[in-house]
Amino acid sequence: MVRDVNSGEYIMPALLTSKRMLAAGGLGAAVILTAVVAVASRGADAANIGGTIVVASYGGIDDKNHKDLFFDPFTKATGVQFQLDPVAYDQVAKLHAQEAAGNVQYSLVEPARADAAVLGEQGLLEPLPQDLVDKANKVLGPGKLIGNYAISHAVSASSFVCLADFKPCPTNAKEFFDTTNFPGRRGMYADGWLENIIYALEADGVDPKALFPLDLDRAFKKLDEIKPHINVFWKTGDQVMQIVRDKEVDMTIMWDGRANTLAADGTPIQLSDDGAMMDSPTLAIPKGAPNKDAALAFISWWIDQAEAQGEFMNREHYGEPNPDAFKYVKPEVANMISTAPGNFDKLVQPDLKWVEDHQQEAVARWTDWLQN
Amino acid sequence: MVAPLAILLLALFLWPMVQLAWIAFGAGHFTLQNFVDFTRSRASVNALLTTLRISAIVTALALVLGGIVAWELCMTKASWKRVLLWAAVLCPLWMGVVIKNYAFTIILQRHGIANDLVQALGLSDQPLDLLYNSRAVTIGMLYTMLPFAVFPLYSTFVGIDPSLPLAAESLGASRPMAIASVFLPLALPGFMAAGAIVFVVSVGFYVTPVLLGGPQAPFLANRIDTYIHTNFNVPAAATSSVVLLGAAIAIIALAWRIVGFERIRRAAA
Repeated sequence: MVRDVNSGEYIMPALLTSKRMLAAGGLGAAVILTAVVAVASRGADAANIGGTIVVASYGGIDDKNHKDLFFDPFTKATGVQFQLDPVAYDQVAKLHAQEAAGNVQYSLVEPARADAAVLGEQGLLEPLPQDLVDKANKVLGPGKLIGNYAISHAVSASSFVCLADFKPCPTNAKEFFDTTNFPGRRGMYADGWLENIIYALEADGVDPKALFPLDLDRAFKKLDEIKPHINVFWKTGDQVMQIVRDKEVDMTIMWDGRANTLAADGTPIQLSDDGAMMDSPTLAIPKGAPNKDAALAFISWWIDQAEAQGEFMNREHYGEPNPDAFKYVKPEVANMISTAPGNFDKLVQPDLKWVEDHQQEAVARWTDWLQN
Repeated sequence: MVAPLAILLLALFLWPMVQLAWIAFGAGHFTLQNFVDFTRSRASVNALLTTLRISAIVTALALVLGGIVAWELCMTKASWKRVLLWAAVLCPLWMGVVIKNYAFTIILQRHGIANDLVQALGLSDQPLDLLYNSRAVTIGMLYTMLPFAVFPLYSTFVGIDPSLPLAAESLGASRPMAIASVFLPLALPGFMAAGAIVFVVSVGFYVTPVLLGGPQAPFLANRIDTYIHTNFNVPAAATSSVVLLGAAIAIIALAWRIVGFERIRRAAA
């Protein structure tokens, strides 16, 4: 859907909001505006706050949680409106198209880590200003930034999952690929090229600490072996939840947040993230984004929202970057989170530099392998 | 009135097609390399063959089933039957495509209605794999496409004078003979129109192959989607689109030509 963020339709509500604030004439408005300027931390004047941030989002419950916990509170504080375009992973292609057409419409995008690295390299993302980079490193700690373009959040692990009563349940890639000793119906993520290449190599005996540079020939040879045993290549998070719930498969590789949501909703599961690949969406601003200052102000504000990030983890079971957020996570949820101490060490972190250089080749090989 | 419509079609329909072809043929530096690459990609060629094969099967089944439904709609004197049949034809047309496909997911899944029925009847002792294969895609597409076959067939059938096959029978032809030699030749244009509509719409199917077939045996439309959204390879996507369009046009032209000859032969005999 094409949306013109510059049309009056979207600017008007923001103008009205700030007028109402000023008309109220109260100290409150001034306090809020000052706070915004302070939060923006780059001396952006109040006139730049307002307008609409168009977010390339993931849709469904994730949009609702983002709206409740982050977008609505920020709107309340600043008058900045949010408009969500739930394009999920298509946002990368859309961003390419918008860039080619010279009309970037998103102020905020959420590309996955690997995509963010590639987009940054291709010059499609706005480098974050140094003060924001410093703040992110200081508040969030190391390892949360992708280059100086994007901040990762909602960290997931592509875990090995079975229904609670299924035995024997594979607990790592080697066992998942072992169809003799771990018989059963299997599911795999159709677009999970990187994790599945990594798991093929782990299953073939490569040390999880020495995976990169990935040996694609070796990986695809191993993948050829498992392909006839994959009953469902799933495409979306909703679909993988459905095939587990409906026992369409006995075991699957799936995002831990979705698996834990299944458990929370009454479908008990077994989950292992031993050697599982960590991944996450990121927050980034496209080069040439409309309303860039508002987007920067939002990112700066969001970094500090430990309590809201904690509540986000309670709801979605994905790891948020602010270390203080764990204070607000329910004890029974805390050990489900892949970034919790003890869990995170088991995960594999892809070498994003390798991904930048080889993504195109590897993805083409993966889709040819899958669709053949 | 015609001019604005023509301009609109040119601008919004023909121009993007020209652009697609332009990209596919090298975007200014004329080359057939993209098409060579297409034929070298086994996944793309398989996707094209899958698309054409399943579309042809769906077209044939839709013509047979649609023909039976249209015949009954024309011939029946019981109005309850006609109401029921029209409802059966129109309902799939009014349902959203995603709803239709999810309904089939629920019916065909391993612990779904169809498998429960098979188990209850004792036809199989374990659940059958009804979902995520080309048979499921065929069923889902046939359900969607059936109305597109019924409408042109019905309008053709009602235009045929029912006294003609009766006259043939009165001259000694059996019922099947009367239908085959009098009714069907008259209905042939309707079958051709219905077949063309069903086939052309079928080759562009996108949602049903993903939801009911899974991503391993995609239609070419899904392959195009992969090229755009996953591989970021616009020339390959444009090339696949041109191939799909060309294949569909060629097959339709061929079918019309064959029938054209056949009719000429009949007329001469």
